[in-house]
Amino acid sequence: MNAGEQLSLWGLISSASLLVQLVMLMLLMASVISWVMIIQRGSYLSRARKSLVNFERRFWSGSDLNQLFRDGNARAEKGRMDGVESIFRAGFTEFTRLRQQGKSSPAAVMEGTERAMRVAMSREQEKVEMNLPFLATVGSVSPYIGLFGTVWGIMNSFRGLATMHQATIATVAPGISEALVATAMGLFAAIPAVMAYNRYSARAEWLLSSYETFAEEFSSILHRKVHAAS
Amino acid sequence: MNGSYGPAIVISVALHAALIAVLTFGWEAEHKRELKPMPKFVQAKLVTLESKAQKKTAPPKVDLIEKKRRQQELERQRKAEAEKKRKAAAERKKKLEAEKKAKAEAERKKRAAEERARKEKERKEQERKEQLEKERQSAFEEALEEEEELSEASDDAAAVMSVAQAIQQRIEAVWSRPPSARNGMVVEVQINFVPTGRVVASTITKSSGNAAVDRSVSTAVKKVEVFPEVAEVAREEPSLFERQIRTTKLIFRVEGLRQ
Repeated sequence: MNAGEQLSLWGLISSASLLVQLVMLMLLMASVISWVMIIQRGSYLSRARKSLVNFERRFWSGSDLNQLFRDGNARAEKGRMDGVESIFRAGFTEFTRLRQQGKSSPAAVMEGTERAMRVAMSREQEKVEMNLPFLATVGSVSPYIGLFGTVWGIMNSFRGLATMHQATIATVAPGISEALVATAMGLFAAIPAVMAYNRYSARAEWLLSSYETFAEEFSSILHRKVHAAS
Repeated sequence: MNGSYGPAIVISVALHAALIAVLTFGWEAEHKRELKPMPKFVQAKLVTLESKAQKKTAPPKVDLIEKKRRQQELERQRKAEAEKKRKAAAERKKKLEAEKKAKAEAERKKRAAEERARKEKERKEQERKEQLEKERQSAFEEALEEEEELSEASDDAAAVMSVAQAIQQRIEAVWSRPPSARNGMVVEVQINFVPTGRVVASTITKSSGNAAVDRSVSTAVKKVEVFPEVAEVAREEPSLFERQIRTTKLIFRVEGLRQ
């Protein structure tokens, strides 16, 4: 009965040495946090993509830009504005302000508008790429941490074997088994993190290039407006 | 508006908790099945010990000898009959030959042959009787001796058992099972001691079927080399040592391995 208790998952973990237990705890925490990031990032990125598609449809439907700007006012006041719409609002606000002053030349108006949109875009970039470095770190480092725990555990179990009289496989097997739990946990944390990182970084890149394209298109529209007016 | 962390944290923690729960239950269910045969090994050990004890103090040795003698007698009778038959056949053949040549000569020859055969038979009969008598006498003496020995043996049985167990324990302590050993393998070893307790020879009398296991047992015997318990018995009860311990048969059983 005693042997069976030692071999259950909890028995293995509780009989491991302190360092191996610490490694396991660390890996468990890394796994939990990386899953938090994966879920949060996934929901954020899919929402951003949806709002981008939605906004572009409205933008190219031929409606008035002032109307479009006013539609977003309510949400902007609550501070829940992100994605491509915030770029649009930053550019449009700057554009109307410069136009109302009436003193600046068309080139100066365009320059100011583009700068405002660049600032908004870099803020968006920050938001989109947030937490991705953490996933990359977990994905590349946690196998090593798990491996370290395993090597340490096997080292100890072989050291114990040296003092034994009878070197049967039964005397080393539990130690090796408990040490291998650490590697399993490391891989368990790393695999989803790597997959999520690759997927999300590709999606973030696509989003950012879409933002950039939109900014270019928008500034060309404004450019036409400025030169038509003057 | 940057994606709330609350639901993500809840989902992640719930996911890990579910995974750990599944692992825990799945793992234990798998192991309960493997656990069941474990107590059986212990039982097996007890059974072998008992059987060994029976073998050492087995009284029906006299019976065995009796049976053997009866068997021998039967065999001898059968042999004699066969001999008779063969002789008769030879006679008939001779007769036929004689008829071809001459009747008178045949008659004479036949008579002579008959005479010879009868003499031979008489002589054989006598011999047989003598031998039987002798054998019966010796068997009786042997049985008597055996009887005495047995009564003594039962007195000393406990001592012998304890010495045998001590020897077995000493050997098992240094016996390293090879990786190819499997539970349930049995090796019987005959060990010859000298009164100093030193092992002079050890032979495998019953192999386990695995050469590595057999070799590991003889290596273990060689490793111990000197058994102080044996030396003690030889000093205190030399006759017991001569009778029971000089050649000792031990049974080693591979058990308790996790496989």
